Amino acid sequence: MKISQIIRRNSRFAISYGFVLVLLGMALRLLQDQSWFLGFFFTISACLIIYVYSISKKIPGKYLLPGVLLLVLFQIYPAFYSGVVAFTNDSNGHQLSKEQAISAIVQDNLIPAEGVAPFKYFVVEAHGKKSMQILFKYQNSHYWLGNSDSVKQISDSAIRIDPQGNIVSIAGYSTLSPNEVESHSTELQSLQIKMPNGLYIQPQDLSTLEAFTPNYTYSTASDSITDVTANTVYRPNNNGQMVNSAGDALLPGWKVNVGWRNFSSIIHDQEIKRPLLAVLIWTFINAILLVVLSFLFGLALALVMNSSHLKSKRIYRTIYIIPMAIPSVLSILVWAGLFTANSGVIDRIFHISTPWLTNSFWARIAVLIVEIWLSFPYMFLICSGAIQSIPNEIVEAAAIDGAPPLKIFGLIKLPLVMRTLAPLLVASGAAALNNFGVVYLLTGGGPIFSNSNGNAGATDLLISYTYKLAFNSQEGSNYGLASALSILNFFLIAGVSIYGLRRMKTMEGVN
Amino acid sequence: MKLQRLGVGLLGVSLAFFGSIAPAQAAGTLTIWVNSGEEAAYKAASADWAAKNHVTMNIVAKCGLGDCGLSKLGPAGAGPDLFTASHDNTGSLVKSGVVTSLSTLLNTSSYPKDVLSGITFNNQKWGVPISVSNIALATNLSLVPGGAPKNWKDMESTSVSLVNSGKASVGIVTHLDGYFLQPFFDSVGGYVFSSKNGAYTNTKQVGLYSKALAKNASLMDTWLSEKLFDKSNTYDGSAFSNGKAPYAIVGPWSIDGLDKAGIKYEISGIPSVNGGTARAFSGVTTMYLNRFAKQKFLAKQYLSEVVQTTAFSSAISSANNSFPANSIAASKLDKNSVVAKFGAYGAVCIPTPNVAEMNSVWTYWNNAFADWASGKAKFGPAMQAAAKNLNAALGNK
Repeated sequence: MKISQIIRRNSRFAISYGFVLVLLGMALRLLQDQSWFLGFFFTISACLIIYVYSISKKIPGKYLLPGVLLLVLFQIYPAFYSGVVAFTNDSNGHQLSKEQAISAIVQDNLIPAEGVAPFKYFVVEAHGKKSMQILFKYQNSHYWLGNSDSVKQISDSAIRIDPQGNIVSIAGYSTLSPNEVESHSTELQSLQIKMPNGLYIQPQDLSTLEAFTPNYTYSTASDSITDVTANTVYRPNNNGQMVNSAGDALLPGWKVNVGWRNFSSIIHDQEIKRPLLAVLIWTFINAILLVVLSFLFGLALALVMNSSHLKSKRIYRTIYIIPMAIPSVLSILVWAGLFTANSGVIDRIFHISTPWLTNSFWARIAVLIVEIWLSFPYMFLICSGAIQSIPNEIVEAAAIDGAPPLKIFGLIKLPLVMRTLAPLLVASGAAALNNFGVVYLLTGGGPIFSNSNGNAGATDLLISYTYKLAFNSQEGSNYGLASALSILNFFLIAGVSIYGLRRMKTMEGVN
Repeated sequence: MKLQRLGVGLLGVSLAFFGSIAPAQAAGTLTIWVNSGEEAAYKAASADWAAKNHVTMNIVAKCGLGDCGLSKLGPAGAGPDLFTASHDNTGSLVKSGVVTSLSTLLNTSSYPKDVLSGITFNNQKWGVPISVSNIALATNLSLVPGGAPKNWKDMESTSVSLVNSGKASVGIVTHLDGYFLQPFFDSVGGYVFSSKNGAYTNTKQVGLYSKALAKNASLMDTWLSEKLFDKSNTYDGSAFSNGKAPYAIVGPWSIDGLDKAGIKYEISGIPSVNGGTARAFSGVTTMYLNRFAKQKFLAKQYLSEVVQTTAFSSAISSANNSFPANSIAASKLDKNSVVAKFGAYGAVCIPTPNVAEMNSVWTYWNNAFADWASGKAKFGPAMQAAAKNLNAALGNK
C-alpha cells in the first residue's frame, strides 16, 4: 500500500489523531513537571483512544471510553487525592518536603561572614563533561574549584590570569562565555559550597560570591539541626517540625503522614467538635426545611395553576420559571443587597429594622428564603407534570362518588404525585445538604460563632465549613483536616441518599 | 482531497501546540504578581530597567488580601518570582517557608524604623517595602466647618449634638471590626500583643482585655448608644458624602470616591480619649521573593536596582494613593496633600502585627466587635471572652 493511500484512508480520523496528539503533548509536559499521575493518565488515555477507536472492532468500548476516562479524571482522582491528603498534616506551615524545609531553615539563617567582601567567581566545565564547576580566589590567597558536592584547592600554576584578574585558562577545564554561564543560572541559583573552615559560599549573581556563617547547621547522620550560637539541638517531632528540648519549633515545618489524627481530632478535639456539631445540626435542619417548604410551595402553585378557572396561565408559568432562569450567583448577590439591615430594600419597604445577616436566627431565615426562591420553580415544574399525568377518570370517579375536593387531594392526588416525585425529593435533599452557593455568597456562613476555632458560623453547612477550613481559614489553611471532613461529608450524603432510596422502594411496594 | 488537507492542517496545528507547550523559559522573563489594578503602575515603573537589561516583565494582577495563595503555589513551582502582599503576611509566609530572607539585600537606611519592623520576623528582613497605607479620620467640612477635631471631647460632642439635632444619622461612618476600630481600641487601652521596639515576639501576652481596657470598656458602650457608631455595622459611605455624618474612617482606597463625590473633607488622625492621637494599624505593601523562584538572580537585581529606589516607591504610591515607604520619596510629597496627611497620621500608627498568630486574632477579635455591635454582649465581656478564646487557641496558659 502506498503512503498516500494510507493517508487517504485515514484522513477522516484526522480529528481523532489531532486530539490524541494534543493529549500526548499534555502528557509530555506533565511528565516534565513531574506530575506523574496526570502524565501517565494522559499517556494511557491516548493509547486507549487509539486502540478502542482504530484497532478494536468491538462497539461498546467506543461508547464507554469517554465517560470512563472523564470519570477517572474528575471524580475518582480528586476523591483519591483528598483521601490521601486526609492522612497528612498538609496545612499552612506544613507544605514543603522535609528536604525543602531543612534547606529553608539553614538558608534563611545565614549571616554574612564578617570581614569577607563579596568576590568574583568563574564558571568552568571539565573537558568532555557537561557538569559545571565554579572557580574562585578565596580570601585573596588560593584558588578553589568546586560545586555543591565537593570543593578542592588547586595550585596557582594550573591557572593563567590576565591583568584584570580574569581567568584566561585553566588546565583540564574550559571557561564559559557569558551566554553559557547564563544557561547555568538555575544551577548557580541553588549552588552552595561549604568551605573546610565552616563558611558557606553562595553566588549572589552570575559573577559574585558571598561568604556566610551558618546560624543553624543540619547533620544528616543524626537528623538534627544545631543552633550554633545558642548551642541547642533541634530534632524532628512526629508533626513534621524541628523542635528543641524546650518545645520551641523552627519555621517552616514539613508535610508528614499523621495517620488517623485528623479523623480522631474531629471526634476528640473540643475546638473542632463544638462548631462542627452545630454546623451538622443546621446542615440537616436546613436540608429538611428547604425540601419540605419548597415542595409544598411548588405543589400549591401547581395545584392552583392546574385549576381550570384560571386564565392566562402561560404568563404566570413564565414568571414562576424566572428564578430558575437567572444565573443563581447574580440573584443571590442581589438578595444579599436586599437583605442589608436598615438601608436594604426589604427593611425599607416593611419599615422594619431586622438584622438579617448579622443575627443567627434571621440569617438562617434569610438563607432559607433565598434557597426556597431558587428551588421552588423546579418543584413547581415537576409537581405540575406529576399532577397532569394523573388520569382524569380517577379524579372524576371520586367526584361522582361525592368526595370533597380536600379528600380528592389528600387521598388520591397526593399519593399519586408522591409516588412519582419521592425519588426526586430524595435527590433534592441530598443536593440541599451540599447547598454551597447560597451560604457562601449570601452570608459567608456568618454570623460567626464566637467560640469556633475555625470560622464556623450559624448558617455554615458542612461543605462551606470544610471549604473555609481548606481555603479561607483565619487559622491558616488546613487541607488535611478539610479533606477528612469532606470524606465525612461524602459518607453522610451517600448514607442519606441510600436510606432515602430504600424507603422509596418500600413505598412503591405499598402502592 | 479536502479531508486530506484538513488532516494535514490539524496535524500542523497540533504540532504547533506541541511545540508551544514544551517548556519555553526564555532567559530574562521576570514574573511578578501584584494587587489587581496596580499592574500598569508596576509596568511603567520598571519599563526603563527592563529595556536596559533586556528583561521581559510579566506583571500579573493576582494578589489582593492575603498571600496570593503562595503557600500552596510556591512549593508546587507554580508561583511567580516576586509578589506583593501586605507586610502582616510575613509571619505566615515565613511559617510556610515560601519566602527568602532579604536581609543582606535590603538597604535599611532608606526606610523608617516602623516600616522595617513590619517586615522583620525572627531577626530577618523578608521583603522590600514599597508603600504604607493606614486608615485615618475624614471630617465633612460642610457639616463641621471647624475642621478636624482638636481632641476627643470635641469629636464626641460634635457628633452627639449633630445626631441629637437630627442633622446626622450617625457620628462616625466605620466598619465595626478590629482593623477599623483599632484606634478606638487603642484609645481605651486595649492592644493585641505586647510589643517591644515594634516587634511582636511575645504572643503569650494578649492585651484584648488588658487592665486599662477593663476599666474603660464602658466608654465603648456609651459611644455605641450615643450613635457615634452605627449598630447595624454597615459602612454607609453615602451617609458621609451626603452630609449625614460628620466623620468617617477612611483609607487611601476611599480618596478617589470622596473626590468624585465632590465634598469638602479634611484628613486627620483620630484623637485619643487620653489626649494625643490614637494609633491605627499601618500596612506596608511589600515585595517578597519566592523561595522557589526560577529567576532568583534577576529578581534580586530587580529588587535592589528598581524596587528599592526612591523613584519606584514614589511611582507606585502615587498610583494607589498611598504613602511611600521610602523615606526620601516620602519627604518629597506636598505636605498639604491628602496622601501626606494620611502619611502624617501613619507615622504615629503602629504596624499591624506580622506574626502568624495574627490570623487567629482577627477571628476572635472581629467576632467580639460583632457581638458588641449587635448588642449580644457589652464591650468588656465581649473582649474578655475573645481574650480567653484566643489564649486557648494559641495554647497560652
